[in-house]
Amino acid sequence: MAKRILIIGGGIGGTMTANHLVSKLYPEVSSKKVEVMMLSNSPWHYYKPAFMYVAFNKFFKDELRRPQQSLLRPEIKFVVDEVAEFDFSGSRVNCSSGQSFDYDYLIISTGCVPSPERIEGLKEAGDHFYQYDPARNLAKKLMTIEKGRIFITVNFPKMANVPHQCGIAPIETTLMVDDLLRKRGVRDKVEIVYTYPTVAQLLRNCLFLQKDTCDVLPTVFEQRDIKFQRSFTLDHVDPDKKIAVSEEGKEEDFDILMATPPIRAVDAVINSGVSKAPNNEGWLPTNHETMEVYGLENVFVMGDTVDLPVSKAGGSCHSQSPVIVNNIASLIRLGHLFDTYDGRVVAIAQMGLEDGMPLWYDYESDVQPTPPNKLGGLMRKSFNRGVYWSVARGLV
Amino acid sequence: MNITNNTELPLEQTNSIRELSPAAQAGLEELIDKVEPLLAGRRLNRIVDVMSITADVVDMTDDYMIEKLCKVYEEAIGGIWNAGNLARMAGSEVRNMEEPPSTWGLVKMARDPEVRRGLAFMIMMAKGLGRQTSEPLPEE
Ligand SMILES: Cc1cc2nc3c(=O)[nH]c(=O)nc-3n(C[C@H](O)[C@H](O)[C@H](O)COP(=O)(O)OP(=O)(O)OC[C@H]3O[C@@H](n4cnc5c(N)ncnc54)[C@H](O)[C@@H]3O)c2cc1C
Repeated sequence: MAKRILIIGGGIGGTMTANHLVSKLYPEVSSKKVEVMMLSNSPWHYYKPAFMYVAFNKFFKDELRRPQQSLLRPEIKFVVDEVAEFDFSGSRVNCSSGQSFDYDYLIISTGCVPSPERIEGLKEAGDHFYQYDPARNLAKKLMTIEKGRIFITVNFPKMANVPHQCGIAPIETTLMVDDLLRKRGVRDKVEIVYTYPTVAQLLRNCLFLQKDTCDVLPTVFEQRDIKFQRSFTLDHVDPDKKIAVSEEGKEEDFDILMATPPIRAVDAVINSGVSKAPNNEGWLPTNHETMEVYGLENVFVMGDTVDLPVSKAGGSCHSQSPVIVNNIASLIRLGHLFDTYDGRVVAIAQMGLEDGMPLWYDYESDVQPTPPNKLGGLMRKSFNRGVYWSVARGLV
Repeated sequence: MNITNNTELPLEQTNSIRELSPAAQAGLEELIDKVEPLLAGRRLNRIVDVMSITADVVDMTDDYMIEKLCKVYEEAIGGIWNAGNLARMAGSEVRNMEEPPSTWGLVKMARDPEVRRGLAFMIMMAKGLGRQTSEPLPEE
């Protein structure tokens, strides 16, 4: 019987890992000693970072998604179904359709879910760009606002030292809002206020989750006349009065409340009971080097579902995926693990509508901010429109 | 060429050169020695031209151009990748056959719905080819 490697989730982490597994284990796959199978609850693969551009009328839905099967090597068995329950003791997953699938090795890459409903009033009165429909709603407001106040807040998970999704996104979009309003000729009548909570992973009273970047931000914002406030931890929102209230006791009015919402793991992961995260967030306890789930055998996790201090980003998946592939290959071939993740995250930040800034960091070193420029912008735009799909196919 | 002994340099320039460490100064001198013949032969001008053209390309490129170029890139790479994968997989399946399938075996293989879909794909490609070549070109 072939050993089955089962991957849950056809997002960026699962897709690049499935393709890479087939090429790494090609002798075993072609001789049918190993089977690579993927379960995902959607036949589509979404390039999620493009939701951010949807909020600026830069992407149509069909441009940011591809049929999942077209991104997978033909050796991979792909099934569209939703995992309803993980039966770790039985090495099996049970799906909402009633089907069950056994595994020898399991990789969980089910991402995270934006959950504005976890803050009173935020779902009703706030906007965000972390999913397609909310991003469309935000686009309508950003394209029509003539005067008033855009108030930006960032919400972190309650679990200590775990970041929100894509750390740089709030800065990227703040600068994009500024550029857009200038293009529309209404910037002088719209105030933009960027805020950051008191606790941001290991930092206190900063404007970003890493100190070096935090230090350069005031200059960047002042040059663009963007107001900024530290220590604004969103507590609740009054949708009728359009007021955001912080845990620190401040009240701020807004015309648009652009909030990075709370996030959580998907239901099946939360309900598995393996997570130790507070507030029912569901992050899986992850060995920061081997990418195994603590306490479970032959189960690996990656991407947005981990409880590691690194960014919940495609750029993290890109560095975690080869480690998992090597570790599963070495388990199959040698009977032990052999690779370790060093916390590396690589990305090209979109700094305003035109400029880009390549960045990287790991467990040891923080991002060193460099001046954003148009060449970086071209790199980012080419990534959005083309290179991403090569990354998903495991080619880059 | 010894720059450090040149007392005629303007103030800011001398300052900045004096701030260099001895190792950096030696490196700078070496670099200048290297560049000197390129300057004399006007060959460095070509490098400046390349930089200028690169800057022009960066400035001329707009979102629409990126969109079109990236589509070509994705379709080309995706097409090659897919064709390569299919050929590799088919090759491996055929190599693993102990004997080539009999004619009846081939017919049996065609009962597999995935094989039928694949064959239908080939036939649809043939239809497309036919459509593209259906219009006879009259002699001028
Ligand atoms: C607006 C925005 C901007 C971003 N910008 C960047 C950026 O600039 N750079 C960067 O690197 N990252 C960025 N990210 C983050 C990046 O998109 C995510 O970190 C990445 O997608 C996480 O990959 P993943 O595989 O963990 O999960 P996902 O890509 O979210 O995939 C999860 C998959 O699991 C499937 N699934 C979920 N539940 C189940 C279930 N129960 N059963 C079966 N299948 C299931 C889903 O259908 C999906 O296919 C951004 C994200 C957003 C939203």
